[in-house]
Amino acid sequence: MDTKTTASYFSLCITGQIVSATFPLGPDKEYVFCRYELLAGPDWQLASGPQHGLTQLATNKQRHFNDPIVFNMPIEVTYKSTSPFGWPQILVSVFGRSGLGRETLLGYAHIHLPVFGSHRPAEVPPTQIAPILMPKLPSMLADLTSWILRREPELKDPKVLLDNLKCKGLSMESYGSLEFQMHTVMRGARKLGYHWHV
Amino acid sequence: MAEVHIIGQILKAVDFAEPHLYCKWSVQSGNAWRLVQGEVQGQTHVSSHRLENSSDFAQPLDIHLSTAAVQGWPRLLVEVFAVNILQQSWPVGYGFAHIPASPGGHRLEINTWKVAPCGWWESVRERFGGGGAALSKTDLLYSGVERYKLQTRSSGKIIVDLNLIFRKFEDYGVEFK
Repeated sequence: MDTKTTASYFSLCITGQIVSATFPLGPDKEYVFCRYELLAGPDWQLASGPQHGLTQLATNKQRHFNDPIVFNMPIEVTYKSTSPFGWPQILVSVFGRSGLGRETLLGYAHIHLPVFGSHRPAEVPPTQIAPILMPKLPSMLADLTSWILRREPELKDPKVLLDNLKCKGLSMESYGSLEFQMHTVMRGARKLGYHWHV
Repeated sequence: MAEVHIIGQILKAVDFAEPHLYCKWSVQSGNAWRLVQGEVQGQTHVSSHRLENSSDFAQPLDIHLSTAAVQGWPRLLVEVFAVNILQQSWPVGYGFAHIPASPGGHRLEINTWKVAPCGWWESVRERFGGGGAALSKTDLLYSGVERYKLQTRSSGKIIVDLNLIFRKFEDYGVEFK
C-alpha cells in the first residue's frame, strides 16, 4: 500500500477587475460608485485578498451619456476549497451620488467568478457582463413617497438575490450593465479527480 | 460514485409578450442520481427591463449531484409566469432542456411553449382577465407520453449559462465526446 500524500484541497486564484458600468440612457445620478463583496459556500476559505471593496466615484459627464463609466477596480483573491460546491460569487451594489452629495442605490449585480478559462482567441479579453437590478416598490403610494423624499429603496440584505427561494415575491427592474474582466488560475483540482475540460 | 457539479445562472427571458415575468425552475434526474448539496428548485424574483423587452433574472444555480448510472441524466425544467398590475400570475411558458453531457461552459437557450386558448372567450380572458390556461399536470413538461390533443403556441426563450464539472467518470469507463 503506497502512502502517497495527495492534496486534499485545490486553490483558485482570480485576478481581474470591475471594468465599467454602462447605462443605455445615462445613469440616474451624476457620480457612480460600487461596493463589492465576495461570497462563497461553507467549504471555501479566502486565502488572500480583500473580501469587500469600495470603488472610486466615477462619472462620464464630460462625454456622451451612453459611454461606459470606467472604474478599473482590481479584484485579486485566492480561495482554497475541497469541493466546487458554493463556487464564489461577487455581489456588487451600485450606488449613485448626485452633485448635492446624496447617495442612493442604483442597483445590484452579481455573477459567479469564472469557472473555466475561456476558449477564445487571445486578442479578445474575457469579459463577463452582469445586468444591474434595481428593487421596485410594491405599491404606488410607496413610489410617490420615494419620489418626494428622493430616497430609493434598498434591500436590507442583498444576499437574498443569491438565494434560490428567498427572492420569491421580490420585484426588480433591470437597467444598465456592469462589465467584469476576470481570469482564473487553478491548482490541485486535477489531482482530486475533477474533469475541468473535455 | 461519479459526481457532477452544475454552477451557473438562469440569465434572462427574451421574446416574451409580457413584460413582468418570473421563473420557477427545477432540476430533475433519474433514480440513480442523488442530490449531495444545493437546491434543485427555486423561484426567481419578478423582473422587467426599463428599455427592452426582456427580463433579467440572474438566478444563481449551484448543484452537486452524485450518480451510479448514466440513465436519467438531469434536466432543467422552467415555467415562466407573467404578473399583471393586480398581482395575478399565470404561466406563459413551459420548457425544459437536458443538462449538457460534456464538461465546460455552456449557454443554453430553452425555447418555451404555452397552452393555446381554445376559443374566442378564452383568448379574451387571456388578454384581459388575468391569464390563459395552465397545465394541470406538470409532468407533461418532460414526458412525451400524453401530449397528444394538447394545443400549444410558441413562447419566448430562457437563456441559461452553465458550467459543468465532472468527477470520477473515467473510473467507471464513461467517455465524453
